[in-house]
Amino acid sequence: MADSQILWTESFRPKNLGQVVGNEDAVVELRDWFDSWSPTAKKKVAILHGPAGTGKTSSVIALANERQYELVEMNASDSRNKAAIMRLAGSSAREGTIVNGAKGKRILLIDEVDGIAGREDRGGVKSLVDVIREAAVPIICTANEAYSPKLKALRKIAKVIAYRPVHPEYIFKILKKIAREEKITIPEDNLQFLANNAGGDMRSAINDFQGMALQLKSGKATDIELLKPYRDQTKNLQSALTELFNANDYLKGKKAIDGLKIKYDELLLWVFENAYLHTSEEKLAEVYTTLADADLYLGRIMRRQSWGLLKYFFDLVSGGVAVAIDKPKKSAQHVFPQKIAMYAQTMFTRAITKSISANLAEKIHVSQRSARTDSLYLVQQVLNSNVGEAAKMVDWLELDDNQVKSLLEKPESLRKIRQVVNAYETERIKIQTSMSDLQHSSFDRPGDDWSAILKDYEIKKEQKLEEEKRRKEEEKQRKDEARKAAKAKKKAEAKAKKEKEKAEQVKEEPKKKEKKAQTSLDQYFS
Amino acid sequence: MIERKDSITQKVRNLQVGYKQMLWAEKYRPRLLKDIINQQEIKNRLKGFIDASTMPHLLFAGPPGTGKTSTALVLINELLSDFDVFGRKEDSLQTNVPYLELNASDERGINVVRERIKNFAHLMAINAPFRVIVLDEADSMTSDAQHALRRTMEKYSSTCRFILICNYSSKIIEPIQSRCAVFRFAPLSKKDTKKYLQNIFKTEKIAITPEAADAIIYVSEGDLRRATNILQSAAISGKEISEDDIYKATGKAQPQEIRKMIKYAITGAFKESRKLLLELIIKQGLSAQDILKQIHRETTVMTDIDDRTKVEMIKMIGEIDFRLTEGSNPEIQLSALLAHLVGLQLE
Repeated sequence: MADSQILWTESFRPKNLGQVVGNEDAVVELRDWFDSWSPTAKKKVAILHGPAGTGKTSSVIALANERQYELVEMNASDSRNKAAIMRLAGSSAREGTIVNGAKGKRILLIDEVDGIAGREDRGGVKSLVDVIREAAVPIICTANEAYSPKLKALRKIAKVIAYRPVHPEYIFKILKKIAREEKITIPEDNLQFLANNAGGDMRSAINDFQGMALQLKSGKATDIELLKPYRDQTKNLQSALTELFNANDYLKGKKAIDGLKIKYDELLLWVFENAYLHTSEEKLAEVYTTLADADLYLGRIMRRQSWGLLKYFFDLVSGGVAVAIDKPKKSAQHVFPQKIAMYAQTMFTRAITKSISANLAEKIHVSQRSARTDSLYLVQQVLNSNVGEAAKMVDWLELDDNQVKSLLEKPESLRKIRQVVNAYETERIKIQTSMSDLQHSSFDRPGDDWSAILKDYEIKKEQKLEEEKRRKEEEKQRKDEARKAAKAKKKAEAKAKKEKEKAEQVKEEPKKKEKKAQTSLDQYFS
Repeated sequence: MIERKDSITQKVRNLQVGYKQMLWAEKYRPRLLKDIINQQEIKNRLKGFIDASTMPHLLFAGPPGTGKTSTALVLINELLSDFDVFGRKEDSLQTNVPYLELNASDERGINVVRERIKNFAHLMAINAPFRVIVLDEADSMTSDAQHALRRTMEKYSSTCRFILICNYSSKIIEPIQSRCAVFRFAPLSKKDTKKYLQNIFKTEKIAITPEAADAIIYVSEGDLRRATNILQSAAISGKEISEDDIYKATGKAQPQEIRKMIKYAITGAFKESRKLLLELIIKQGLSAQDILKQIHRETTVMTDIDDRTKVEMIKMIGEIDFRLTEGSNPEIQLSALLAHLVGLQLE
């Protein structure tokens, strides 16, 4: 099947969920959700979220394949209005198609749901939620960021499953597998390099590899030359930084970054990350003040769009730093900016913290920033105190499982908390239905007097409460009586037993005596 | 009639779910104008608006936790008596709810504010004399945005009134100030804070030593929200609250890591110090301003540097604070400060 026209990202898609690599936890969650799905399930939709190329769509395709469901996809390019979705997911879709029979059961995949039309405060997502409530088939959405405020309403009825960047080792394994099946001989080093450079994006790594393989086949490059375009970039930066830190005069420093292809803010971060390794403690302040000054220019440029200032930025980052540095190391491997790495690592937790702060800010009438800095610690404290209070807090803030988990010190208490929250919810639904009954019954009355209705409701409520109280008391009484009766019975039984035992003892005693006499006789004779 | 019914059922629902206010700062937020602590003069003036059932544009200025937002909410609640302000929020998206709460520091991009404000303000109010927009933290708006707002305020003043809330009225441009009735909220006295806290002690059945109660008043500096948060944090254990508990609870609001970060720097461990800084900003999401504020506080009480260097430090902290408002990178600016601290111990 060595057809060069087919994209490997398509032909090597996982055939079943077991083949989806790098996000095993997510796959398990997806499978569990799917197995417990029903049209009345509480979490009727799954949102798979995570960066590009981590296997979200692949998992859904694999799932459909594995369970022999027909997969219907809706992309951002399709029209995604209510009618279109209902046509694909409504009750007519439940029984399967005539052509395919029962095999034609469907899963609906809505790709890139965060791109759905509609402003935050208008219907877009809301109508999707309505549709999902009515849908008769499982619906799975993918999103780059499920915790964006736009998707809040959707999250409430959704199981949110997070996909993380794929570890380079997994990417390497897949690339090796493709090389084997496509019969391509290529040094493993090259594959390892591609895997490491992909930033956890399996798709881009496979695409790069396919591009490389095409070059290799057409004889346009040898396997050593293949990586040159990739390596050049990073190699340039590495050597430019070495040159800069070793420059020790202004002009040489400026020259070091000449012709470097890198964005200015990234350059600043690279220098910022590595400069202190080449500086004595005495000069540290000078180096970092220079960098801070360079950064100041960047801020001004962004703020006022005065790009003419950019030259001063470059002067300070290169020449300025070169002059201040006093302990250059000749052969140093410069490390990747921690800031970028940390942002990538904490993407999920940050998004979750942000969404919690947004919920909280809404409840307590403050900005999200001050909710996070002034009140979030308190929420966390309450969540870790006792289950009852924690559940009330979760219920109040309408937090979902991932949000709660991120605040818990012991993630295992999540289950208990959720149970209590669910109990609250049922209680609330009860109250609401009883209230709506009340409304309907009095709606037609001419000249509604709402204060009377309100009073009426209060009275009814009180009556209900009293009735319940009475019922409970009666029940208690009944139970008490039953318990008393049982106790009396037990007592009587015990008494009878005791007497019986006594009687037996009395019976046995003469026997014992006899026996005793016998033994003493025996002893005597022996 | 139907709207009216909705608002009443809403009120019933709020009765039903009374336990839901889980943070005491929210639970004990005043629901009536007379419950607002202190600010007697302001209350008298507002009472006049309520009696006449109208109001001009308002500007509330004052330190945090003195009741600005609460006053705005109770005022709306009494002026627009058909609608319940407390408890619900998502309903404000419906077109028939005549007020809108916005927080200027959350609405990224002034276009959003402008669009939402305009869309809301240009409609006539139903079942209410006018619509009201509460714009909290209005002083975080750029002056461009404020100028745009000024026109909106004028154009739609027949249908919509504004309540702008800010810490510093000087950060609000003159033309807006002149269009508003300005109310200045005074910092609360110790006595007022005490009165407010005692109500909570009683209702929540809290056992607390008198020294601990004084400690809350001392550390909260007249900020009732902060005071209540500290109290709730200390009360979670359920035991009698001692003075020590209060200081511990205060520490939870201000991460120990900032002190640790400074310690690292003045002992020459730049690498560790910088790493901690990145973690504070990125992982914990602290704002650079908050970090700077605490560095400032720590610098004032630092014993191992002489006064001259202390003054140098303060100058630098001030400079960085200014740079941050110019749109600089917090971690790079603060790293420069840490590098200076490393240099200090060498002299």
